[in-house]
Amino acid sequence: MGPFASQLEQVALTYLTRRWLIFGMVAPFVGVALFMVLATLENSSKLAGSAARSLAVPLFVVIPLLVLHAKIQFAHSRAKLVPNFAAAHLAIVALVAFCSLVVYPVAIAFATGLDPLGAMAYALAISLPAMWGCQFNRGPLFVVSFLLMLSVMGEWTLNWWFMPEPADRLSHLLIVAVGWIGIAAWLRRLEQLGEESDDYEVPPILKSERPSRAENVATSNFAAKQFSRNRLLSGTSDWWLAQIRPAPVHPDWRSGRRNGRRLLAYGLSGQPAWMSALILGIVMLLVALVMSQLTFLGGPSTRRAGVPLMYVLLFVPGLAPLTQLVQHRPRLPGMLLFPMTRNDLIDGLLVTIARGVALNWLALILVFAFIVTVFPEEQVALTTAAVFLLLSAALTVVSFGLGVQFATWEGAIKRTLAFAGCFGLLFAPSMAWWKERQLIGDVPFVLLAIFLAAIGAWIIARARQKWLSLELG
Amino acid sequence: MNTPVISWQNLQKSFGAKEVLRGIHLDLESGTVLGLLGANGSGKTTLIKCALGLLRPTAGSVSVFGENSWDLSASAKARLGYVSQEVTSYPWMRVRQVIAYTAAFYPKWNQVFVDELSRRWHLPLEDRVGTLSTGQLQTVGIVLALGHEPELLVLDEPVASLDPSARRQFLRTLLEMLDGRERTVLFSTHITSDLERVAGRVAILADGKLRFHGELDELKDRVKRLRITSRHDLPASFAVPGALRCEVAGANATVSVADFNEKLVHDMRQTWDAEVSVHDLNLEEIFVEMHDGSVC
Repeated sequence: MGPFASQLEQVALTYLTRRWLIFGMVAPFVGVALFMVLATLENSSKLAGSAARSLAVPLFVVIPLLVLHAKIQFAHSRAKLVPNFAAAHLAIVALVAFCSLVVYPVAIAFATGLDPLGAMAYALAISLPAMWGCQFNRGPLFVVSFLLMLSVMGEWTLNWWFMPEPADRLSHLLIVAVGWIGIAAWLRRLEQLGEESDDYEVPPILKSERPSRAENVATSNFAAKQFSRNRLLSGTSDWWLAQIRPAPVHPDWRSGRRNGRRLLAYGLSGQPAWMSALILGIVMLLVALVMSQLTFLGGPSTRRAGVPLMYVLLFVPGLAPLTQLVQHRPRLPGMLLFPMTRNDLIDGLLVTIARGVALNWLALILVFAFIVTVFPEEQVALTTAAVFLLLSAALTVVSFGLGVQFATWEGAIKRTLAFAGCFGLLFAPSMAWWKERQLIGDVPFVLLAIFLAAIGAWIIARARQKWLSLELG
Repeated sequence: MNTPVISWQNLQKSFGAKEVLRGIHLDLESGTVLGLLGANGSGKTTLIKCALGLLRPTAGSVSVFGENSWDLSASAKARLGYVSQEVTSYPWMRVRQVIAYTAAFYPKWNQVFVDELSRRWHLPLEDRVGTLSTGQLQTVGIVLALGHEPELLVLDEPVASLDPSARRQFLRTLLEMLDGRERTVLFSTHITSDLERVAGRVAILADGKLRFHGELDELKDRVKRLRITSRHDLPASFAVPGALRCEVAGANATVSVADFNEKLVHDMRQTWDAEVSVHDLNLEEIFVEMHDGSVC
């Protein structure tokens, strides 16, 4: 075996020996295959539509995992210092990208009678923004991917992507060409990654199990740079931290506890929770307005605006404790030595995060109410609205509990995959309510909400106990 | 009898199958400066983290100010300060903000002292913590640990990343803090010369066990290097009871012993028909002898 082949083998082992990574990269494709088999058994005439609508799902898992793994490899001094490091590593990254963005969509297309070029164009179109978003840690690029993924909801766009007219082929060809230029540029970017690059940092949520000192320094620098670069963020943070008041000089246990818990909010985030909720609300309002106005999907619609909102309603509550607790984990040993008990620290952190989640939830509900009011497709009865609030609140409790529980796990990829899996499961009750409420009625959903709330409370109680017994050192 | 400030009782700690601490018995009395020494991986940091409630003992117990270290009360924590090997802080905060944030947790905080330390160490108060160098971050960690003037100070390699000037500044500050006050310090470091300046007692860990615990002077009295010059070549059976290290070359031998006494010298002179000279060792030499010795 020549030296390059041997290097390729060793690089491949960096994927194969991370079992959760390999599981995350393979399982979604297997899931889609199973889904297609089931769809065929149920109704073979709908197979093409089902395949087209589910084609994007594995890519939303695999592409971020690929970028993460590649960044962990390249955001390190060894990438510059080890001879011939780049060639073998980039070759494997390119191979995985090729399999995910060419082999997979083309295979699905051939199996289901869809247009292979269109399938490839669609896969590249939704993956490229997510890829670069993950590289530069930019959320809005994920929103672009997300909107492109949702474009298959409309019959016209579905056909444009997967059953195109001959005149559309040139557009698809152009998308494929731009897509591969974008991927080539990403590979080049990886090779050029240096310590001073903005994208040198690996997001803490996806970091390797035991980050090195260098990784921690990179994370720290990244966070500081975010604030130094952005005047608004910097000003807000200075104003927010200026609110810190000294501890009471002669505290009784109650005022001491209150003081400690109050302070934890400043240590969790550089800006107040209400500001994050406001930003989230504004972003989602814009997304919902854009979605509702996409006339090529069939005219203004609350339905299309509502679905992304529901996604986010479920995603944010669980993601908040997951990211905040994981990001905060290296600081917890220091915080545990602040003059407060272990129980007060853990409860204080959970309450502070829960408060932020509640504000986010409220912001999204207000956006929802706004959309329903502005684009009234149907008369929304008060009871319907109440059932939705109840169901959404119950799902939020479950999602929050899962986030707190998963944040105790050390494996970053395991954490992310578990959260993504549960997110999919949690979306089912929401979607069922959204589509079937007129058929089923309110009562089953009220019962479901009560059941989910009880499950959520149980998960939170268990997760809290886990945190209390966790060794933070 | 006073309660020890920290008391490790038959402490055992394992990580999975790996046993890191094996039955440690140690009391740290009030007003003592205890230097903790040990090779890399000997369990020093684990010993400290068990005392602070950051790790849970596998067996045995640790108490701090008489309380179970895993469940320390707020008031006990208000009396202790800790500087870790690797200081982690709040990267988005400015240095002055992180000081204000930490101060707000403590009912007693000496801001004048903190301002003085910040000035001595030239802390860039307006810089964000995330942009600081490792050494600067370490000094911030030290200032934060000293701001409430703790009764118990736990230092785990606090100066490893400091420049010589900052290290000297740190020792000066520590000695000032100890001057005339009843403070207890647990100081783990590889820089033995620092320990010799501040520590009255020493504990040496090796392979998860306490190899020595006592006064630094007692250690120096007990561990000595002997140079033996015999009139004849020393035999292959040459051996010295309690030897830490032994090198034999013809009629000459160099032996380090852990339990020196005059009788040992007398016996060697008699047994090997030799001249024996006794040499003092500094703490670093003692550490090396205890860890790298080839016993005869």
